[in-house]
Amino acid sequence: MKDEKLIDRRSFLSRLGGIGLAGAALSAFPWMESCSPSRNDATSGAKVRLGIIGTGSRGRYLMSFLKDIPQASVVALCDIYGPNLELGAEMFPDARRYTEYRRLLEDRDVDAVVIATPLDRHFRMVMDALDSGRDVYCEKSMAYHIDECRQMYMKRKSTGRILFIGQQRLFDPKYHKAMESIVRGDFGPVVNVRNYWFRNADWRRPVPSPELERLINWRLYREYSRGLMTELACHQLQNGTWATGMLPVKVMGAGDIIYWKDGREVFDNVCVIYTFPNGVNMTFESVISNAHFGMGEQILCKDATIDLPGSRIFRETPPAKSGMEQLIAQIEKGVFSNSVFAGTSWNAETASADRGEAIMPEAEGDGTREILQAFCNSCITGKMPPRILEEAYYSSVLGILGDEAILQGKTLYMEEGFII
Amino acid sequence: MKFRYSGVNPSAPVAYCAFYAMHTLVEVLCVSADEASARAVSDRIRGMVAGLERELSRHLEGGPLNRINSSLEFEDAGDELFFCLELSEQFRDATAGYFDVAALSPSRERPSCIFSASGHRVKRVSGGILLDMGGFAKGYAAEKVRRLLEEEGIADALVNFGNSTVLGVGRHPLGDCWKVSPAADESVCLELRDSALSVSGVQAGGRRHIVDPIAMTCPSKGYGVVVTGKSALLCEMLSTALYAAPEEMQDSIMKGFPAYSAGHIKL
Repeated sequence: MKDEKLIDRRSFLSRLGGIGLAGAALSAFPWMESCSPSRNDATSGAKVRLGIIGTGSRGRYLMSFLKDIPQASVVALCDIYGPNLELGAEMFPDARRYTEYRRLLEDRDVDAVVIATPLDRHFRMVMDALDSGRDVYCEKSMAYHIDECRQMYMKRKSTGRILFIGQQRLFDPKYHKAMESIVRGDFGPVVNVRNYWFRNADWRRPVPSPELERLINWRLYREYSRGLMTELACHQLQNGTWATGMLPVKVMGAGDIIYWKDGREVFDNVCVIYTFPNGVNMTFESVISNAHFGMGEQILCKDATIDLPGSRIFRETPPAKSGMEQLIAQIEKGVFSNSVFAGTSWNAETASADRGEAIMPEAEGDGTREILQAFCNSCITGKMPPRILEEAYYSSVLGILGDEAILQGKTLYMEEGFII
Repeated sequence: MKFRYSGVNPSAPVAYCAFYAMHTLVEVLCVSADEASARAVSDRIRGMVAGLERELSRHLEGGPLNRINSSLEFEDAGDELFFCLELSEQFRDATAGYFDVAALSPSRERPSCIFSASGHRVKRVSGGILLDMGGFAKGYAAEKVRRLLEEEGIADALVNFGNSTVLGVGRHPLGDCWKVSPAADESVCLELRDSALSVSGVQAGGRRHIVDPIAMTCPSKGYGVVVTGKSALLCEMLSTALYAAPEEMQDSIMKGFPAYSAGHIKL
């Protein structure tokens, strides 16, 4: 362990906006003010005129939410692939269409852009958009290289524009509810963080003509993407820093192409371990030739496991379903009836059968609508929400570091130069 | 320990305590007009069960059963464990070998222990014997809770060890017995009046934990076994033996216990 490289909770939180330990729980989600009801009220009636750069499946997914956000007006669309541009135009027929993003940036009616393009394009597009005075919402991961992420971060600071990276989990109310309790220590200390994403599909999209292979299936080629680490892991790696309030100090990993040997260049299975200053590990595993376990993000605390996407808590000692408490209620009401509870021994070892407790059963959605609403509000008010970009930056950095650790076949450390 | 006193129904004030022991949740509901004394009784029950767990657990390092399981010499069992092991041996005889505290052993040698009455010392007959009081401890503890309640002057109570061993002391404050139904079959109603019930079968999630000591297998049957009768200890011992035993043996085992009733229930 390289002590000088340790980024402990205090320094991490300090770097992320100057809050101390005591304020950690209350300030766990300072960016949420940007989509609070009062902020929505304050921006009602105003419109941000949006240009969409990249109207492929992800871009159109974002557009489906923008249609219902009163503060959003989609006025321009851009894609270099004609069929995608047509599909985008079906959603917003009045929007002007472009096939080159720089032309869209010359459109004076565009206030802000939403970028949903291959990873390798993010850096140049975001830098150009910020330089042109536009606010930017860019899909994750932030960029292909750590230095590019850092430059984007610095550019946002120097231009004073708004820059959101599409880490929608930061706006998911289920995650907030769970993280609030975890940060407060309700379940004891965090002892492990597990992230995994298992699919059983080749990750390919249909290609109408061979020359379009790399354009359409850009996720599979190193020139454009780091594969699973930047397309999937980036969703999940913020969980560890969020739950522990620390940055990992080192990362090691392994990956290979084990099943989909179809000419792709990115790994079809990876296993990466991040270690925090206190020795706690966070893992990310992904395999795309077995879908049994699906997608999971679990914070393991001393007293409970928190399933973030499933929004459930599994206590180490699950509360037994007490028929006796039912009996007390009957007695209180003056009822003499049978108590229903007899069965085989309840014990903690059968916890696997425990269905856990719902964290927030009423919550809907995955935070995408909220983050887009927050982006529109921020464009209108000109106020960049605190910490949101730092969270996205570190999530992207961790994904890139994980991929590099696999490629280089060695343990990599969180260097001081990566810290913002 | 969770403790709750309810005087919402003035004609039936009750005190409830719950705590974890013996790898399960122990609950006691006392009919009592006095919250302070009910709390004191609850504390006594918890302390007594915790002490008994130390005596009977094979997992407690340095505990008497742990020492016996680790040695081939005579070991001091202490009065309580010595008595329990002797009683277990009698139960084994009475159930054609299907109740057996050595059921988890790789060895088929029986009797599994040699008893030295002078000094209450016990030794295993071989290193292939593993003694486990899991099918005995809850029923025995429930009987000790019954005695403690008597000492404390509490005439009516319901004692629950993990839903599988239930003892009705006296009667429900609004009825003439305690009525308990299996969780999987509400239509079955067992009336406990100074009597107990015990359920054995596969646990939640299909976990098999009862060993047939003759066949040395873990049976998985499509039903659970419930036994009712005066003693919680005998109910637990019998339900374990009946679940472990082949069906053709069940009636003959029960003939030795005419005051007890057994049946199959859905789980």
